Amino acid sequence: MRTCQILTALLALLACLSTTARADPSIRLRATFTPEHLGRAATVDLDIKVVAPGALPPPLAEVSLRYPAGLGVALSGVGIDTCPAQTLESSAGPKACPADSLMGTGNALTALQVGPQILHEKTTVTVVRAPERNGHLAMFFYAAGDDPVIARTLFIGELLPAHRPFGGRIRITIPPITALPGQYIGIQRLHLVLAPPWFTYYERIRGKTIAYHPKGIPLPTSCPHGGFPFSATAVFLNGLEAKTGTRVPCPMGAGRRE
Amino acid sequence: MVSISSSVRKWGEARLSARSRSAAAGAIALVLSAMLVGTAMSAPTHAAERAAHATRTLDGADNATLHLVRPGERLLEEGAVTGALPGRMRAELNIGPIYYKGRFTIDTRNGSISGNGTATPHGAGRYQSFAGWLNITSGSGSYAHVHGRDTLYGVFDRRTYAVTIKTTGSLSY
Repeated sequence: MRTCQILTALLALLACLSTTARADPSIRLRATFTPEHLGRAATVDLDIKVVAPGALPPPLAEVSLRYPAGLGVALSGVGIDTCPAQTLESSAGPKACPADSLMGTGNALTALQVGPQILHEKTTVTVVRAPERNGHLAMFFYAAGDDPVIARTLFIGELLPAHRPFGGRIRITIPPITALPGQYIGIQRLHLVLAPPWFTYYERIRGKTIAYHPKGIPLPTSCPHGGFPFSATAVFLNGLEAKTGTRVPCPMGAGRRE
Repeated sequence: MVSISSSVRKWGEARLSARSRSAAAGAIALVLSAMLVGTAMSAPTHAAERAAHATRTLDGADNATLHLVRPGERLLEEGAVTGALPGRMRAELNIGPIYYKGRFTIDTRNGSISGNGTATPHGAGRYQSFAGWLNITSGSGSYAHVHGRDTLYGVFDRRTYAVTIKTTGSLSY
């Protein structure tokens, strides 16, 4: 009788553990540079996927993206003007922001449970330079979706220091996004394209307005052993945390450093 | 990276050779002094040397207007310096989102001055202001014994990478 009770308790514990393991979300990160020429300006493409098999991903509270040392984030030509939150929150959204404040673009795939059904929504993301925050370079991530739910959300990102081999990290704070009271929208994928070549900026030279394409993010002049390291840490609203890392391989024939 | 390092080495070599010249000139002067004054008087030459190196102080402000010479992880910049120490500055700048760091050499008519600095950027926009400290670590010619710590502030143009640096304080040499 007692053996039976112990076995039942163990089975219950195992079932509990396997449920927890299955429910724990994980993340995947992909990073690319375009073009891949050392010492030249590039567009940085970052793709984060939240993997929660068989379940709705828990809502994200924070994402920290670490980028490699030597990446010229402060030397890129994007984000030379700022856009205040009030402007973004107006009905025109990022269109009301100065053209020279645009830093990147992208999209996000979100999921929402309505009854037994999981609804997916693809939203566009616009990255603009925000006024300095706590003495740090900051940016806004404006996400807008129209179908099936009309939603507009503003995230704030701050550039913070990071330990080697990273040059810094972008900490994105995500407020809880609710479609219905108590029902949170989960982010399944966040795809960001920073400093793309198609942005048009304007400057005044001798009284004339000149259009130009701002410089991308300068790549380091040499490649670290094993490639350029990136890492992402996601903190979910339920307190769970997931980490991942990736490396952008060194371009062919690139000078490597240990 | 390689080209920047080699360029920095060249500065170092130039500074060393200037120092060597200064040392050689100093040695000749000492030998001549010894010959003139005599062996019995050789002991007080230390005092004479100390007197020759009597510390002088230079107070004032300088203004450097630098332009980009070579881009890269570290920007190589150069330009004119006006103010208390007029001359030409070459600087290697590491412009980050959180800190600006750099090394510099100012070539003046009476010798060169080298050092490093750290600053924190403020604000947003095309013209990024910064403020920090400047350490003067070495020199040549009249400034062979230079040292000092000054405040610095300035503006970095994120479009052209041009830099304006203002320094205030005093240095001893």
